[in-house]
Amino acid sequence: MPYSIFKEFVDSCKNDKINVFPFKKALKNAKADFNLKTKSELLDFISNNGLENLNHVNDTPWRDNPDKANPITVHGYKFRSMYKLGYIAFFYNNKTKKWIIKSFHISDDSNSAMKVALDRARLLKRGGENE
Amino acid sequence: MNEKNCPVCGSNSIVCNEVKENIDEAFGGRKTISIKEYMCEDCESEGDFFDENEDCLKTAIAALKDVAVTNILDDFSHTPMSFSSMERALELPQRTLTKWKNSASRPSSAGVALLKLLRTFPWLIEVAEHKYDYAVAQKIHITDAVQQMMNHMDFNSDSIAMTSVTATNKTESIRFQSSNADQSGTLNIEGRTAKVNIMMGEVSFVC
Repeated sequence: MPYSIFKEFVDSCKNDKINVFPFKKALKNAKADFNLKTKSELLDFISNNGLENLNHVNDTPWRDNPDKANPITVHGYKFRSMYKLGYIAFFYNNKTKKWIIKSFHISDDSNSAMKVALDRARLLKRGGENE
Repeated sequence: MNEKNCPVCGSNSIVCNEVKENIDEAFGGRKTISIKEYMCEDCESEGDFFDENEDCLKTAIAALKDVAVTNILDDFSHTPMSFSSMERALELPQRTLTKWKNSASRPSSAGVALLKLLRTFPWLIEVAEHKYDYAVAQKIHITDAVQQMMNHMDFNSDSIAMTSVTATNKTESIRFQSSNADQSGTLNIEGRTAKVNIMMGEVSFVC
């Protein structure tokens, strides 16, 4: 289930760019951490399978949602790109019919090959990273 | 939903600000441009709500890449290597670099990446000159690394960990540690003094 949502998101990044919106902070971090300088560079990277070794972290409610009658779930994933571990969080708003990239940055709690290996071996607790 | 709604929550309570954004490019410097930034007063989302900044960002990045190409080729033009010999070694069509330098043609993204790599590691041209022979490439790489390392070594006896040096009449190499940058110094080995000189990356010992 979490990965089918991700597939839908990637499809939109590829074929429906106008309906994908990255937050200012997500784009700023994508530039600083991954050298992705524009929205189109970011979406091209995502849609060309740039997010490798994808791991679903969690699904949490969007806490800044002003419309409580329309609950929105934020999907968080960790990924690897060459030597970097990253974190992406996104959600879909049924009301606006748009995908929102909430976060896109270097993973805060682990960025070493050893931690990746331990994580894969399920020897590390996966934490509630959602910023 | 009209065009000026927040893409995140759909609210029409949005405000637009014009802000300055710095664009940096390796070897190309920095350019400051004005971009539009929207903020939703309901959900407090911020960003380029209507993709209005894409074109001006791409234009600024392309302009800085052009500057980077010119700067890199200008740097190479002040070295003993000629453009024609570089083109020959890299198997590029003759006058390619000159055309790039004079803006008669624009290098592709791959071309810009090549120039940045060559500017960062000029010894790659020598590797190409030797037809990418792996053994020769390793030798060129290691020679460059040793030369760089020698430029940052201090051979002053005070900073050398003498306790780690043991030499006998059968010793063929000496290992030592240093911290500061210097070009000469002395080594004391079993009561005998050796002067160490580094000239042009070559190390010599005078006993």
